Amino acid sequence: MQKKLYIFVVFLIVSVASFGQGKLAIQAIYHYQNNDLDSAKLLIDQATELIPDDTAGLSRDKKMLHAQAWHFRGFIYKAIFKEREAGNPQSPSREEAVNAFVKSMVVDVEQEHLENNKKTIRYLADTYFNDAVNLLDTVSYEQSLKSYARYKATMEIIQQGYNFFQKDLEYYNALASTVYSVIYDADREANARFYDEALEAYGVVLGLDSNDYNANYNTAILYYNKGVNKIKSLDPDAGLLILNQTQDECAELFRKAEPYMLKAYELNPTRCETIFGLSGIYFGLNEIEKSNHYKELLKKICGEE
Amino acid sequence: MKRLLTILFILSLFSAGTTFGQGRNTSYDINSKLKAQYIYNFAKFADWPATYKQGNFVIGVIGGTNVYNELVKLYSSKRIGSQPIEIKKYASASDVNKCHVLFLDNSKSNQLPQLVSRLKGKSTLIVTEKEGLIHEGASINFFIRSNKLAYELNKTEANNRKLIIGKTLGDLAAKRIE
Repeated sequence: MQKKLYIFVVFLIVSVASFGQGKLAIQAIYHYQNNDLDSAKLLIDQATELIPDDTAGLSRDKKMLHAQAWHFRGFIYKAIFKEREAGNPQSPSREEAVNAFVKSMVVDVEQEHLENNKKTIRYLADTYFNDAVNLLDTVSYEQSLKSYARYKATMEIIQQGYNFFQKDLEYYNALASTVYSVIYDADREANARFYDEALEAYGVVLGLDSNDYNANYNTAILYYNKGVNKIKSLDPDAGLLILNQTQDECAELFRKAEPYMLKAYELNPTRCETIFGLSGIYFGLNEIEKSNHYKELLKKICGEE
Repeated sequence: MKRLLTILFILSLFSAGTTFGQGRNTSYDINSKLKAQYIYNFAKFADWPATYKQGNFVIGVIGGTNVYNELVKLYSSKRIGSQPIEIKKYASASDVNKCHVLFLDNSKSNQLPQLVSRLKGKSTLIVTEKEGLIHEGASINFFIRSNKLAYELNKTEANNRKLIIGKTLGDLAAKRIE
């Protein structure tokens, strides 16, 4: 008897809680529709607090009620993100929105909200990608990497095994260009570490597609320019040993540049910058015949001296 | 999405623009800079007779405009010992007067016999950059070895001109004719 009473009391509490939760969620969405986001947030927080962590044993109806509450929570937090945190790459509301949509999908046994949940997660994933691209500057590029990782993680939620090939190519090419040309090139001494990071980013692109023209060309240019800059910045009082040592270092860099520039040339034999680059690399390596061959080609194809 | 594509497009343009900028390095004549720096070292590590230790220390160039420009840029305000460096450009061997070092560019190599004759008995360190000229009157000749600029030294020729070649200069020569 006592056991039956206990079960009844628990059932009553759960029912009231569920009812309360549903009501709070409805009220929250009402405030959301009236653009009163503070009230909406307060109510949806209360509503979702009532949802137990373990929903496995719950009835279908309760699960659907919870799915709806999480779904509403996702929309409310998404609205807060858009309204108040759109410029913040670390927006906590966006994170919360994604989490809420994910939780909604977990308990949404009827898949009533599935399409909308996925669609909105996709939207939020794209905002991470936009952040990643927008943050490619001197100050925030490390946050850009984080945003890009978050974009990929979010996309994986809605489509496991999503093919990021094209996006990776675009992103890492843009990242490498930024790290090199905006950061490293602006102050080579102060930003020396970014040289390696640019090479690394192009390496990622080439790992994805060894036939990427841009990454091959720019990798060659990175090595080549480093060699040229070593000679350009030589101390005028440098002794014979230093001159000899610098030449060794430069020759090594030019040799590293050569296969990438040749590959870029193979991929696009009429690009003047590549022919010009090959002529420069062979000149640097003192292989004058080869350098002259590309100079001639440059004249023939590009009309340049 | 449209905005995203625009951003990526702008970035790609930016990237291409920069790489063209980077490409400009390919027109920079690194060998001329190196030759200029070597020539300065030759001047530092050789010794001239007392009669050459007054007035300016003259480095002459025939041909080799880029080497001349580098020498002017890097060394025209420096000194060898107490002598201020003066960089002179000569149109041909027949214009050469008294100078301490004379660099004969590859394109003007055929003027070496005339130059040697004009500088007979003078303490001028003749520097060339063509194979074989080390045996035809040059004291130092640039050549390429293992993708690098190196130099060979004809110590006998230098001694005949009363030049004393320092140990460092001799030791670091890729080839030596004693």
